[in-house]
Amino acid sequence: MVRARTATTTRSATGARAAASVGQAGVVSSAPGAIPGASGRVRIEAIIQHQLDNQGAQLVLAQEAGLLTAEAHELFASYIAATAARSDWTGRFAESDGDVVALCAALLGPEQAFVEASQQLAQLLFHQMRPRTISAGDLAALIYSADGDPQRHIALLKLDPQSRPIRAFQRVNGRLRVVYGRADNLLPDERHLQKCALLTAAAPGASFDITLLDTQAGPTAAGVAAFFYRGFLGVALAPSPRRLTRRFVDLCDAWLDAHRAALDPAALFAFYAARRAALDQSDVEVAPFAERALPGHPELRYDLAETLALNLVEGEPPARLEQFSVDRAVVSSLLRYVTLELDGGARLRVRADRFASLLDPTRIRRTGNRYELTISTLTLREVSD
Amino acid sequence: MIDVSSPSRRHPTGPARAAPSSPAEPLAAYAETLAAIGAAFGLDAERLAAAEDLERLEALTRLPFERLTAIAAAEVGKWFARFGIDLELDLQLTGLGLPEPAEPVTLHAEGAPEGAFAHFLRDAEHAASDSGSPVEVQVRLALGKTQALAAAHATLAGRPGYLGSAEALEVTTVAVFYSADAFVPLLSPDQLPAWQASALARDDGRAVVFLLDIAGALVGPALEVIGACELATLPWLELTQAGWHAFQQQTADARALREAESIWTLPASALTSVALDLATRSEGLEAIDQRVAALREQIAAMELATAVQSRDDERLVLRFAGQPVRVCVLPAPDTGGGRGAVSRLSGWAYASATPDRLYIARDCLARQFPAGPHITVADLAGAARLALPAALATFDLYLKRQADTYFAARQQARDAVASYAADVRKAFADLASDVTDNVYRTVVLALGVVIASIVEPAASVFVAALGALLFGGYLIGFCWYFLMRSRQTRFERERAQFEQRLADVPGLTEDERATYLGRPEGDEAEFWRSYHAARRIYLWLGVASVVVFGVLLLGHALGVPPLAATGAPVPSATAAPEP
Repeated sequence: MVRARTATTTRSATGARAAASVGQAGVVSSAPGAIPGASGRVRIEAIIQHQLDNQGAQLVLAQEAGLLTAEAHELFASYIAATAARSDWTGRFAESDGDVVALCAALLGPEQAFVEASQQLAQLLFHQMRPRTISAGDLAALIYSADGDPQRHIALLKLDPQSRPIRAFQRVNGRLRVVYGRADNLLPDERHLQKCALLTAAAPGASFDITLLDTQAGPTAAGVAAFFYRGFLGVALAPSPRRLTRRFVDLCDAWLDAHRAALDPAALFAFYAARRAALDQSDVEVAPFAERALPGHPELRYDLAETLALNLVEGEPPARLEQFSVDRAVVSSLLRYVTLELDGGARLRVRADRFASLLDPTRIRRTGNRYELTISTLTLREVSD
Repeated sequence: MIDVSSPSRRHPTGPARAAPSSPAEPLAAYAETLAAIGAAFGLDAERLAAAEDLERLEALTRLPFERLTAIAAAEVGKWFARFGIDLELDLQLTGLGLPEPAEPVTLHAEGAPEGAFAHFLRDAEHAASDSGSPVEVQVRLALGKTQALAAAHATLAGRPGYLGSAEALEVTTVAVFYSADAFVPLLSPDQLPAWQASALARDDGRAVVFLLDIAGALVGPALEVIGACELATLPWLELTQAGWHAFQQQTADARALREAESIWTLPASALTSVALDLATRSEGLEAIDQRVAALREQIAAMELATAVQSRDDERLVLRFAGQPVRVCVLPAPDTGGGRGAVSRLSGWAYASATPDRLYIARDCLARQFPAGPHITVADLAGAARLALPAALATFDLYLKRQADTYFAARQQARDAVASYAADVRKAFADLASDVTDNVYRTVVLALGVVIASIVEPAASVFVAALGALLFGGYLIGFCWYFLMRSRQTRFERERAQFEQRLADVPGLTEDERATYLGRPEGDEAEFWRSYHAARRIYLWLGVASVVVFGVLLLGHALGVPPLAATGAPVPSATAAPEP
């Protein structure tokens, strides 16, 4: 058994620590924090990978830890960073004394325990993957530390090998020719990760905080879609700051659609400006936000605040959330640019700090149901790129 | 947004039909199809109305993906069969569970929309099944109006009477609204620029607005609002060419008067309160009628104001003359409940091309305003209700004062004519008197000469010649030349004074003045005849005197004996005895 020990790999990635958790009486609390590995400065201590071919009913279990080249180390570090950046969910094990909890704790143990625990985890996952609608893949278990902190963390990655055509040159009858084939054992790039979990414990023996990247997880996940986080890991989900931030933006847009008739252009732009200012902070409190977003419409503030508080967290029963941490990476574009959608899908994109000089919201006229905008610009050209 | 129709009159929302069932229904069928599209995408009538303007409809909505799967591709095909190139649908899958944003798919008539929709559904189903979060579809519904407008033009071309003629249609602006509610936002005074820009209000023509989802008709010479649901049984408004031209002249006069007597800082509008005077031709548009009436009240208020100013916030500030100047801001949420009082007052004020009535109406209105510089539309309506009878009475008094003044002036003219005629007759009499006197003088002088020749035959020739010369000089130099010129000058001055007196009489028309000037013509002609006769008499007498003078002098020079020495026995104490 050889444990991979390589130099620290640095990658740029942003994200915030999974920060919402389901508490008493359906109220969700939220607290910010950095996800280990989000920065990309990762040192992978150990890695092992098992093949779970549910299509061919074949489970191939590695018996020793893997060997990492520098290039492979960088790739797996990118997996960890991407998981931290794209994770919509956080959670904890639903059963604190379950088998998976014990196996995860064992991963942090000696080398033999690491291998055996990973094998058992692979078997558990393989069991969950029996329906053939689930794509075959590998389970990679990693022990890593991040940002120079000696604390060790776990990454469980379901990697779906990719395939693509390859070429080879063969000499046939003394003549060289190209032969095309297919490689089906390629590791995916970071964009194609679909199910990954980062587990970290504040102290040895403490419960794990789980950051989950699972595009199939969510309030409507059921059956095979939930095989990883529910069937395999047994995690109770809570939305991450990333998901809450996206949800907040979506809810604001939906609320505006429903109340558009009550808001003149100036009020509409005041709302957008207040939303931008709120997202520029580390946390958003919905009630003060509603007050700032609707300065001229006190009668609508309660409805906005309640809509946000009751719907930020999806699922049944409704969980009330009054405050959440902002994932600035999600809204970085929204913070930098004002993008107006117009008829025909036309878009007007202006740097937020220059928006006022280009378009004065108070000068937007309404002719019947139509908005008439006056744009003042020194530049006018068609963009051809 | 208000619901502008009673539910029973609004066309029921139902599945779209591939083709209209009768020639009278194609317009309404567009609204039916749109309602079906809205129902499929969760866009209710209110949202569709809010997304429509004069030229097109564009609505954005999001709906759960499962709802989209309930739409049959064949149904989508029917939509595009109805609207053709006017319809575009952009579909885009959205949701927090999608690994990456999906590309939007555009359905349009020229791109096999049924197949494209089915393909989108297949792809979206796969993505949705992979997502653990709700997946939604963002839909952009873009709908033009060229097809519906073409159908509306065809409908108008088939209407009876002059208004269906090519000449009338040439000056008719046609607009269609899929939803009657979408027409409502235009019924506000701050939308006057839109009325002008779209030619719904125009100086040289009229407009017909079709509301495709409703029945009923409101008609007037300048504007018709027609619900398309029961077009087959609609009693169309008929107007003769002469009637149309007379209406055009009336509204042109009203606009000219308004522009001359008011100050507007916004562009002049062709829309007048008279143009909005619509009559219900067919039931069903009661709510629209109320909004039109409210707009008419506010337009009428603008017509009665002395100044209308457009503010930066698109509202209109109306200023009314008076102490103090009253200010009213439009559009106002209340229409005053005046039941047309402002419109009636404005209609009366602009009923003639002259400003008299408008002045009176504004004055009476100002006297009925409540104290304070700011008034509401309700205040305005209340004041107008009281001002109209006051204006009618004031106008009567104004007319009566005008009549008194007129008759007094006519009496002045008559007096002037009488006075002048008297002067002419006096001048004529003076002429006759002068002539008579001078003829008598001539006869007396001749008798004197004869007597003198009898009394003193020797001196008689010389005396007679001298007398003839002097008298001839008197007749020609004084009477013919000086006296007659003096009479002429006097007459001409009296004529000029007469003309001036008539000119100074107020209220006389030119015709009346000419008539009065012509009345003394008979006397004047008589005067001139006498004048010329007198001049001839004086001239002949003068010439005769000069001739006598010459004859006498010539006879004396030739030794011709005087009259008494020619054999006639002239009694003379100095007569020499016979030798």
